[in-house]
Amino acid sequence: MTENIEQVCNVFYDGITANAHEAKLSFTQDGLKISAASIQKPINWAYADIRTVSDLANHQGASFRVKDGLGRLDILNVDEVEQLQKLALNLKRSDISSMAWKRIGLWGAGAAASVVLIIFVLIPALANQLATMIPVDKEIALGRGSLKQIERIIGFGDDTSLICTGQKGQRALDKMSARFENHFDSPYPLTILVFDNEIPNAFALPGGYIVLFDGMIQASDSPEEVAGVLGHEMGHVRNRDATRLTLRSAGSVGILGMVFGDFAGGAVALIIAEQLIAANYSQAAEANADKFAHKLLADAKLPSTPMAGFFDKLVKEYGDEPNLLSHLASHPDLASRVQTAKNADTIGDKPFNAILSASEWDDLREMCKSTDG
Amino acid sequence: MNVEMADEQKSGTVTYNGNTPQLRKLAVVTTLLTLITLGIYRFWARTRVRRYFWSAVTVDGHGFEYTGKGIEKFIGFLIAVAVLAVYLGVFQVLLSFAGMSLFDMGDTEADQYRAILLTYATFIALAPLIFYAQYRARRYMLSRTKWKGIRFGADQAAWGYAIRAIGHWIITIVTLGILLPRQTFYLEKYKADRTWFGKAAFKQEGRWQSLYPAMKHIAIGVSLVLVGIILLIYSGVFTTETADIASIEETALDGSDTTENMYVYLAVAYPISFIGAIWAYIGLAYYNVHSYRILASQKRLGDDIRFISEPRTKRIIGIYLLGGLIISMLAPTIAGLIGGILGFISQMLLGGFNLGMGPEMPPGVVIGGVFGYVALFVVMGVLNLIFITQPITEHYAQVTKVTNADNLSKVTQREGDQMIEAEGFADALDVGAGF
Repeated sequence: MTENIEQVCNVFYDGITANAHEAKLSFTQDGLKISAASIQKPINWAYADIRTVSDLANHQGASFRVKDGLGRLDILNVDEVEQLQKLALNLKRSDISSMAWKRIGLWGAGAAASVVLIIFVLIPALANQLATMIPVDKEIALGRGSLKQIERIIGFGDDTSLICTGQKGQRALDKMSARFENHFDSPYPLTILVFDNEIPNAFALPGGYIVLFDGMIQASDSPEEVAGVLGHEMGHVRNRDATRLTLRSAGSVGILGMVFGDFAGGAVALIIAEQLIAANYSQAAEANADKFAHKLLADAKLPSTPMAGFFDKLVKEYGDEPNLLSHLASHPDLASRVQTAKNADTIGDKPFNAILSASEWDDLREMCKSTDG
Repeated sequence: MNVEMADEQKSGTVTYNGNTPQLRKLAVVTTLLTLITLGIYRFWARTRVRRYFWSAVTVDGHGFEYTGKGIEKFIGFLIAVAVLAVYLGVFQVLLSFAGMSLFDMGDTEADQYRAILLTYATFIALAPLIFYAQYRARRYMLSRTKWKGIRFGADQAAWGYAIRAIGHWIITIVTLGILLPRQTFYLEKYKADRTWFGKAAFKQEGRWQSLYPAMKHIAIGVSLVLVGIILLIYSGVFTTETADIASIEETALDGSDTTENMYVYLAVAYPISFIGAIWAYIGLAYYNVHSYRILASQKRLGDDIRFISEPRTKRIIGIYLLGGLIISMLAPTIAGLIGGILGFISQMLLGGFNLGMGPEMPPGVVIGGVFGYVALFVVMGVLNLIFITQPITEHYAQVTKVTNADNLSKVTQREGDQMIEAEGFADALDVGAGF
């Protein structure tokens, strides 16, 4: 029915009554004069105050409103629209009031302060407190679950396990951790695994899981270098870093999701922001794990210079190009870590009791090549 | 449209005048801007899309007008973040702590229980806030909606609404859904009785019992499921130990009576329960549509302006099914193309550059994959507006009519409603309107 009706005149809504006025327009010097038979006194809109109403559906002509007013004018005549566009120069102005700017400043600062406070102070404090309260068996289950997930991610969805099963190598690993055992009070039993992957990396998961990458073992020149990294990961286990990080990221993802919205743009920003926060969190955790490793090595009468040597190699290989998947290499001040490890050395040139025999070291290096006994 | 003609025949006809090319352009432009600004433009994007849809719906040839501003929504968002961040952050940590402490993470069965528990916990902890935010979002939208230059509006009653909503939900859950019509009616009445067009008030009339006919398909579906469960109990499948089932299967070869009966019961019980569950699910859609119909027919504006709005369940389910099908086919195709092309170009440009993600991940694959992933969400959002929001709006407009629409012209303007926090809380809690 309505489709048949041709709109033939300009319509003016006065914003006081619910009437649609058939409007006549005259372009005067003072502004646009809107008159209609149903309006007693013509209405004058100063040209500078006229604004376009955009994004209207299937609209003939163009629609206009007046700044800070309630009136609305639909002009259908194309000539009149063009004439108005020539005279009114602020049609597209968005009119953000000084009040609005003040509010943006005020609440923007409030919002930023609130987010910073919660992400960098409240959530970490809460996570540190709660991490020690999770029952040990649940934490081990959490570690097992994350291990499976990480295997899937690194294996690009491939279901075959990455865990190396060479038994001789496993025995060598067990000997290594046994050397530390007396100097290390772990909240849970340690599970040390080797992943068949060429990236030089290692990580710790909740519940005492430690994963060394074959790439890391191959990049090491001596078992003491591997022992240094193992000690570092044991530090993470001792401090429950992985569990704390899981709790923290649950909180920060919730907040960041709210900040960025659930849009695709938000999803990307969210991942990036989460990574940055996680990296920041881990700065302190890494330093603590290093300190722990140095003490562990000293207690086990082992030198920490090899650990420094391993980091030194990473600097040379990855120095200017941080590896995205390797948290060992992505640490910003690798050079200073080398120095601290050197300084912490208690053995120096003195002889020490090697952590693995030459043949055991070979077994460890061959661990991912064989499944034999 | 000719104003004089419209004045002569105020039939109260509602139409939808949108057109797909225009909407497509608007949706694509606003989504891209949102993407480029890392989500900040979303407040302006949603405002523009609303302005489009509002103007597409007309009553007697006069379109609705959405006067909300992106900047208002942005300020509202900042306020919501400042106020809610601490609450939500602490809440999330506690929730994941509870999840970790109570269940074995990574275990599939435990994961299911955890998901159920977390859903309830989230709901209970956030329910008051969610209802509060929903009422305020509605109030904001009404205050920014005009027709023929006259504003809509709602009274300030968000906490009253939140308390009532929680009360009604508890009653409905305790009575196993039997009092759902009572909840639907009283919550709608609470909102409608506080809604205004200019100085004219809306009024929800009628009785809550009148919504029971809308429940009929839920009742049929639930009855079928109950029959299925009774048959299952009768068949003895619950009382038989798993170990015994194997022996029953063995004896089944002998053709003993009890076993045959059990299989007959099972053969009937499972299909009946299955059909019943689907019936009840569609019945819920039927309830939503028909309770809306009944409530609309019993609303009054001013002295004698009334409404007829009769959407059809079949049409609405059809739009969702067809729209869902189109989106699920088109979105991956378009996103795949975008990701593929960008991946190819970046591989050409950055082929020798190592992103440090191993030899399996050349830059083309990484960049193409990231853009394809982002494009999928972007394309889905755009298609959703075109294939679901638009047809649903059009259907509701087509089946709606205003009676005594002449008297709408006598309504006069009401005071504006400032609401500096706009609908920030609803946005923050993600319980805002679909668009």
